[in-house]
Order: sequence, then C-alpha cells, then structure tokens
Amino acid sequence: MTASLDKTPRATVQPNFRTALVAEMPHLRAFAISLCRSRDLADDLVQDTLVRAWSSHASFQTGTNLKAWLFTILRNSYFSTYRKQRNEVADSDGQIAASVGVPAAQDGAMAMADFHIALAKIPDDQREALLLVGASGFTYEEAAEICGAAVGTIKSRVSRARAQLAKLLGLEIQDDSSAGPNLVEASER
Amino acid sequence: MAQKMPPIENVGMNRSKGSGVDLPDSDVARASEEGAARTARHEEALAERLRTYYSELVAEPLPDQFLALLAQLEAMEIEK
Repeated sequence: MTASLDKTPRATVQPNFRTALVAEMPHLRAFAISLCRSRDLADDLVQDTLVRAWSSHASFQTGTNLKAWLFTILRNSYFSTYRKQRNEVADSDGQIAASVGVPAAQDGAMAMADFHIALAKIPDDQREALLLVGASGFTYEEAAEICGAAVGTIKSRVSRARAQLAKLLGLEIQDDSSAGPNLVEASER
Repeated sequence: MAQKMPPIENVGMNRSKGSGVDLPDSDVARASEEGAARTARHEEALAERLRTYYSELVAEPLPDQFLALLAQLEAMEIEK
C-alpha cells in the first residue's frame, strides 16, 4: 500500500462494513438462488461474493450504495463463472422444483410453485432485471449500473420478463414489452 | 371515468358503423372495462407473486457457512 492521505492508512475492515455485509446476506442469497436456480450453486456464489467483497472492501467508498456494490460483484461472478456450471445441468420442471425448493404442492402453494417454475424458465438477463427492479428494490438506474447496461435495456428486459411470466402463468397483463428499445439491446449483445 | 351513456333508444346494434361487431355499444364498453379490470388484477397478481417469492427467500435462515466464512476472513485480517 502506498501512503494515502485519508485517516486510515491501513485498510482494515471496519466493523460497520462487516455489519452491513451480514445485513445484506439474505438479499444476496435470494438474488443468487434466483440467478442460479440451484441452492447449492447459489450458496457457493454468495460465499465467493463475500470473499471478493472482503478482499476488495478498500475499493468500496463509504457512503455509496453497499447493496448495489455487492449485487454487482455477485452478478458479475455469476455471469463470468457460475452460469457455465449452471448450464451443464439440464432442466425439467421437476428438477427446478427440487433444486429451488419449491413449496410442497398443497392448496394455496400451487400458484407459488408454478411461479418458481415459470421464473426459472425465462432468460437469465430478463430474470436478473426483473428481480433487481421488481423484488430487490433497486431503481431502473441502479439496476442499469449493476448490470452495466443502458436504462432502456433494463426497462425492456423487465417488460419482456413480465410478459413471458404472464404467458407461462396464464395471466393477461398489459404488454408493453414490444415498446422497449429492442434494437439497442440487439446492438449491445 | 364516468362515460356518458347514450339515451336508451339510441343503444342499438352498431352494424351501421361498419365495425363488424354485432354488440350493442353498452356491451362493448362493458367488455373493455371488464378486460381492463382483469388486466389490472392479473398485473397485481404477478407483482404479488414476485414479492412473495422474494420475501420467502429472504426470510429463510442463512446457511451456517456464511457466518463461519466471515469469522474466518476476520481471523485472517487480525493475523495480518
């Protein structure tokens, strides 16, 4: 380490960083399970994320969004490494149900079981965008930052994710997915 | 959205408008209102399932390995 001007010359991990990390663990795990569609793989991915976050905590700027920073590390790790492992496993509805821990098919849980299976079927980038914006509480702008994509691209992915889920679940929703900037998306890929 | 309804005697088949739909205007309006209401209901159902799905995952107990790993990372930090 070169001498730095700030008041903490040694980059020790601050207790509040640790506390914040622990607080985000359930969210990291929920997002990881959604991406991986496998609990085992998701738990590995979260631990990998924790190690990376811990070792690069010096690059995290206090006062900025820790949750977004952690989600970025996790999703980059997923798309660069874990997705390949994930894709080696063929999916059937039964396997998805078993690996994501779909609730037992009792009365009332059926709709949720179907939802788990439908969610596992939509493309990774769409599922990711939908989770970030529709469940994890990020804004479109934050999600765009996390994914390294344009805001319009994220909006388009979310719309298409919703449209596909609705179709798989037999729901009729307002379909604005074709209004998204699909050309932008196509040129970025 | 209080749409003014035409006087009863004017509610007829709308063939003359060339729409090809043999429904009284009031039925067409009702059908589209019902469609909009169903769409809104379905959209809420989808959003609700996504929230339920996510909150159930977040509420699950964390695997012991996570905290064990942090303890390990902290121990390495102290050794440095």
